Amino acid sequence: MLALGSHRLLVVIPAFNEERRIGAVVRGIRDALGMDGDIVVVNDGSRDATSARAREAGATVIELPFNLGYGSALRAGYFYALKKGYDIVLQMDGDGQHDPSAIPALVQPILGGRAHVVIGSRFLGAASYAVPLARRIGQRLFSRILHALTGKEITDPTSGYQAIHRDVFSLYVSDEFPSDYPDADVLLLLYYRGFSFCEVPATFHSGEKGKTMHAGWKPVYYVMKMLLSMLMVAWRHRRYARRKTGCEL
Amino acid sequence: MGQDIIVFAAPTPYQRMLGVVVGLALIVLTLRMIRRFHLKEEHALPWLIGGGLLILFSVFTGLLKVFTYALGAGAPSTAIFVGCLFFLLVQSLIFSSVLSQQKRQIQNLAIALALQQAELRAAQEKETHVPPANTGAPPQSEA
Repeated sequence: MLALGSHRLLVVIPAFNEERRIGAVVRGIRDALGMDGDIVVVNDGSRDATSARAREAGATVIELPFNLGYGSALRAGYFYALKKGYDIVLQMDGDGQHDPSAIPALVQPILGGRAHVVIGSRFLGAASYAVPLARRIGQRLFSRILHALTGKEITDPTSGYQAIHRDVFSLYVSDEFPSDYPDADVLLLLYYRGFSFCEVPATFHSGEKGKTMHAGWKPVYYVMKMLLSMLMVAWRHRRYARRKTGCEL
Repeated sequence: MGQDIIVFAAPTPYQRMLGVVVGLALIVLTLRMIRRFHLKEEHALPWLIGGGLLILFSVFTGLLKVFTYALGAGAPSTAIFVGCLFFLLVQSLIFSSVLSQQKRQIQNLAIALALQQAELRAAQEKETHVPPANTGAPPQSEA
């Protein structure tokens, strides 16, 4: 069981057409957290019963009027956390890929003041599925670029399983936060802004077959867009004083 | 009558230099606009690719030759012109689609906002309208 003390934790789950899994995901998190922490599901314009299933499972639901994209759904969650005065946000996917057993490991470094952002890495933990080759190449490429620019070893820069300290919320609700895929470019942004981030092992399960954000031509677009986005972050913040504040776990 | 033969007239050094300068200017302008948040990365990619292609065709004239033959154009300048026209046509079509989608989304937002305001107003009126307390006395006749 996670001991949060006086800290208030909010779990943010962006969801798009996840009526079949969202209930189980919310209940799994509730079991892992006990009575501590609130859960908010951001329904990103789903055309199914995602909101109803999430409410039945005990989550608060933020309804976006239409599909805004994964990054914008996350932003809505951060706006909510900022408005309601939460101390920590734990972001998880709504398709059940992220195993809630890693929640304490993700949150502890933040509670201890050792990191601003903690990323759950599927490559440090026991992965229960094989990552597709194209995605693995992309992850390796972004890892290398991040290492070259920041000197930090991040094995899973595309992981959406993260815990975030409240100091970072205002950055995440700003225009700098991407509206589609907030991945390696956000880590670079954190680095240039002087926030510390690190990885902990996390177990990932395979998502629903055929239901992925990275299908068809999207991986090609994703890689090009992410490279451009990282270049822009480096260009915009080249004058920022960089603090190499790695977290000590 | 002899066969029509397309003769590839290689671009002059001046034309090649102009192509490189225009391509570079397009890329630099696009990057500066993204940096200042005037353009989002996802909308900038086609312009960057367009600028890159212009530079490629200017530097490697062999590619331009293949492109010109593929289009059946008589001159490389015509091929570039037709290529640019096609690029702008596709971009314009994409923008029209985005515009239509955004118009529908704004309409839906306006409707949702109006409904919420009506609900809020009704709830506020319900709160402010306090019904008279029941004293148990019989109502008095107006006569």
